[in-house]
Amino acid sequence: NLPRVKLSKHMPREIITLQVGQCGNQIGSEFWKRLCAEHGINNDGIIQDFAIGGGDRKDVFFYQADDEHYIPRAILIDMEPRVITGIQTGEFKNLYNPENVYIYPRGGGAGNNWAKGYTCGSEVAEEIMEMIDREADGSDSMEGFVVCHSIAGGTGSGLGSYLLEQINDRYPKKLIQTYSVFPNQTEVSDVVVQPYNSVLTLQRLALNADCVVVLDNTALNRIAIDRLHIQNPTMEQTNSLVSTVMAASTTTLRYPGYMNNDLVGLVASLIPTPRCHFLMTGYTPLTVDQSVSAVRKTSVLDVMRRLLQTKNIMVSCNTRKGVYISILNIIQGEVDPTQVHKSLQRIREKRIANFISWGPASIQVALSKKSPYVVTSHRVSGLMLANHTSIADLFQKVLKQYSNFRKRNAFIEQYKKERCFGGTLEPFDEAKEVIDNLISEYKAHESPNYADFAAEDDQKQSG
Amino acid sequence: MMQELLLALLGYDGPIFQLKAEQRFEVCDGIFTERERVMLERVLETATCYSKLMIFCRDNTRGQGRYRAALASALLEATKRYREGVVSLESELLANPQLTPTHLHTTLHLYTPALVTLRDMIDEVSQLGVRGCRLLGVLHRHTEQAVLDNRTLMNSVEQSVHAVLYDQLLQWLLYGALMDPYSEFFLRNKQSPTEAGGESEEQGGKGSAASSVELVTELLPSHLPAVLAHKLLFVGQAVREFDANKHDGSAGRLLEDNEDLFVEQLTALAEAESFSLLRLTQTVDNITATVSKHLCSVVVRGGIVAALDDLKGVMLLGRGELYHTFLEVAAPMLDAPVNTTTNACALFQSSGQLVQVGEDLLERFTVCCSVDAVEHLPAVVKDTYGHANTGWSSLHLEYSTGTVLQQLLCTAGVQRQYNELFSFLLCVKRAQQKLHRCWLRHNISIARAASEERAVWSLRHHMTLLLDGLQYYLQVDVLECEHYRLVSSINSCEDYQQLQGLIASYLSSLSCRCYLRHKLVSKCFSLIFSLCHRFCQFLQEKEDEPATEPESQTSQPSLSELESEFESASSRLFLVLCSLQQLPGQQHTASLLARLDYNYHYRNKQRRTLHAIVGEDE
Repeated sequence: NLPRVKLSKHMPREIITLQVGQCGNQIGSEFWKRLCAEHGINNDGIIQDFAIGGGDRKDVFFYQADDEHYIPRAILIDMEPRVITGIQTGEFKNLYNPENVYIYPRGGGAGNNWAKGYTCGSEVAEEIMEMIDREADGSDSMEGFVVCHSIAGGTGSGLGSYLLEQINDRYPKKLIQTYSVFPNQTEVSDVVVQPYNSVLTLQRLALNADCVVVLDNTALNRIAIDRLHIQNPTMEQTNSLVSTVMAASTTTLRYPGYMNNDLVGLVASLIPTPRCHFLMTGYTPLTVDQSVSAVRKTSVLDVMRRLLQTKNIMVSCNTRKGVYISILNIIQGEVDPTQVHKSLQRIREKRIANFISWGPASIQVALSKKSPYVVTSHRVSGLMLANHTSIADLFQKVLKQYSNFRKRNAFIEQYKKERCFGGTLEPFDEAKEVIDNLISEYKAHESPNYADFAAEDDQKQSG
Repeated sequence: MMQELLLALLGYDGPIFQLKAEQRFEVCDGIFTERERVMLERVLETATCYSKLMIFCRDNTRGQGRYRAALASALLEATKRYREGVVSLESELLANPQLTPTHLHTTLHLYTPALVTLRDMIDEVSQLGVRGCRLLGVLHRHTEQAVLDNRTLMNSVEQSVHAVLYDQLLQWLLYGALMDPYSEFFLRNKQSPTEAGGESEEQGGKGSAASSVELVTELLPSHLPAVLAHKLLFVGQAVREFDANKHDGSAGRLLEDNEDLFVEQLTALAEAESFSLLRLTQTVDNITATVSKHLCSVVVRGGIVAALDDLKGVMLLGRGELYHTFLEVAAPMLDAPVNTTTNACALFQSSGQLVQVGEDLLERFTVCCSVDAVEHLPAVVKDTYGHANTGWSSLHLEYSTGTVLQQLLCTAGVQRQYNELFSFLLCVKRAQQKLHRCWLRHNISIARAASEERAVWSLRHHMTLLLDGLQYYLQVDVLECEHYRLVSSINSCEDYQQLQGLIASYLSSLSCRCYLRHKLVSKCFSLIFSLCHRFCQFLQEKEDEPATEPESQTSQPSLSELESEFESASSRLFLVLCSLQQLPGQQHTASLLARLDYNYHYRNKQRRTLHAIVGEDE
């Protein structure tokens, strides 16, 4: 006679992944490859016998077509067919849902032009949004979206920006997290106009995303060369680093644990103020293929100390300057939990990390499971997600390159002519202002009286 | 006359030597001279002794319990020589009618001391109404006092009475049986639940398949130490429980392999010339060790580590995703006051299904909403919920394994401690989750509205950091670490009683490290939790009613109120923890402080405040 509680069958807090553009699809497919390996799912999406009932939470990122068939909650979007066709003919061709693939029918890509991608977005958005809606309707308790893209090209940046705005509008209560690849600034890129694209995308990331995980190709290359001793790192090798980071940052969502069970819990304490939601990552031990490991010791302290070293951080900023706003370390593997406190103490005593002085801040350490199906040579691995003010330097660099271009009005015409620019250059100025504000917001965090400034600011606004 | 005297010596009443009150023989007045009378009275003293003993024997062979019966027959046995002596005196008398009472007295002198000793003992027993096991204590004391021949005699008496004890021990230790028709043994079945009232029935739950046994101190003989009695209690109890739970596949009785050996040892004890406490203790120790070791291995094989993992996952919130869902799913129902239709169990089970927690795991737990649970809540939880009797405060979890582990982990005490921790941890988790929801809602509203309310943001962030820090402290520094320690000591533990101790100390150290018993810290926690709830409420209301001018004016001071209240609550917590840290044995406080104040924000603030105060004074 007790009242029946009506509930849906599952409530996995689904996350829908959008991979946009060439880079987005490449890192996306690497990510899925890795998730499949970690959850014991084979190339065709069939769960292996040994992984049945493994106690992990596959349904956050996959949905089940039938008893043994798992399909990624992923939508693949590109304006030219090359990369997606590659995926569709590659070894994971049967993994993805073919209905979730969108290739711009006219093809040809966005020509590395943000404006073209963005304009194109307004044409094709309806069709893509339909896919997103279908995915969202199919999930019971969707938590949010993860967008993989690069900010330098045309599709990932332009179309990606348009989609960010659209999703934010359509799903105001859902979280949007992006994994955004920043271009390599040390070498001459084939995308000459990448400063333009970057600035325009950054504006959308600042305004329309809740959390941006910055993956800096400059730093990824440096890590590959300096740390992994690869002379000319290939795209696959750097992408494998990216997928490692992506997989590790979602590990608390995919395995049962005491905390950080959802995306909000994961990012809420990392992001104290809404604008400063750009996170940098660090990972140890770094390997491209899992065979060699140059790491000797794997105590918690070693892992945590290495995570704080600038050379292991996947953003080319000097973390010795500036301050940490927050840090979350996710440590995977068999760890003696009593070591956590001792390590935290040591790091504090040695003042390895500088924190903001105007409010409380700390290193949070989450211990998480490691996939039993992926054999690694190291016992313990760690990922750091950090909110550090020096990330503003990266934006500063982007802005500087952009300013150099703007001064000469280089390549400006191809932007101006696109519909979204409407013949003016206002969108550029708008974007620059947003980024300028972002940079000064980060700088303000470094000041010891940030809280007082903030109070004054508020008074001014209300007054 | 001499014949009658002899008869009197065997306890028979006669015209000259009359049996008076209290079994005393007295000489009839007016027959003998004063001198004769003195001599006769001396002889009669022996007669009185004997007659008392015989009366005791007569009264106690039946219906007065096994111990008294054994004593009676031992007395008969012990007085045999005396009777033989009297009989030989009679034949002597027949051969030589000239024998005087003096001769009788001299001859009987051989037996008199023994009779007197026995009589003294009997007197004590009768006067104090000593019965059952307790008898052994009196007997033992008298035996210890006896010397020479008496000692030998008393030893044999003592041993024959102890034989009853050994018999009962044998039954109890080896089979867990209480052969005690007269309720004489110092162990007895606990009062049946119907007599003790409904409460114990509820607490016993399904676990008490083997009814429990308790120690009756009034019946414990004075020469047996309480430690020994507790060991005896433990062994028999263990054997009982083991046999009661035999259905889990482990065949055979607990002591099967060693049964013969222990029977032998106990028989040897019974057959020995005298009672030896040392040897009894050794034997019991031996049995206890064997049982303990065996039981320990059974429990470890029975998956104690897995069961502890389950308990940690469900009752100590290790399965965060389960509670994450449960808190949301159950909120509409549990936010309201508890009523009869509140079906927490269904909510819990379905939350489990939603996040695909194994059904077999959830089946072992039952959740209920009972108003009684509120009484057992730790202060911190009570204060947080206030007087509102919502479903949250009446949530109660019960764990049941149905295996050998039942007695170790499912006793009322252990369950109560787990529930205390559970309610506290759930309280933290709930506040934390609410703040996270606020972050999400607010993040979005900020992105839309250009104006930034930094005050709201910074308050929310400070609250979140404090709760996250507390949560990490609880889950990693306390639960993970203590669990890790417990599991590693279980792996090296070989003794069941030690195992019980380990679990007890695990639970008490958890409750200590969660500050459940610390009034000041609890107070601060509950203040902070309720502030978090109020803050979330505040944001919610603000969101629901788009700011019209007058309302924003009324709600604005409320924010600064919350702000200053939180400020003072967190500083107070910090102060209390700082002063606690100075005390010995407070390493955990240091680690909580490190979590909450990693960048010395609070410490520096405190210093500034102090400086300001000192500055003013100067």
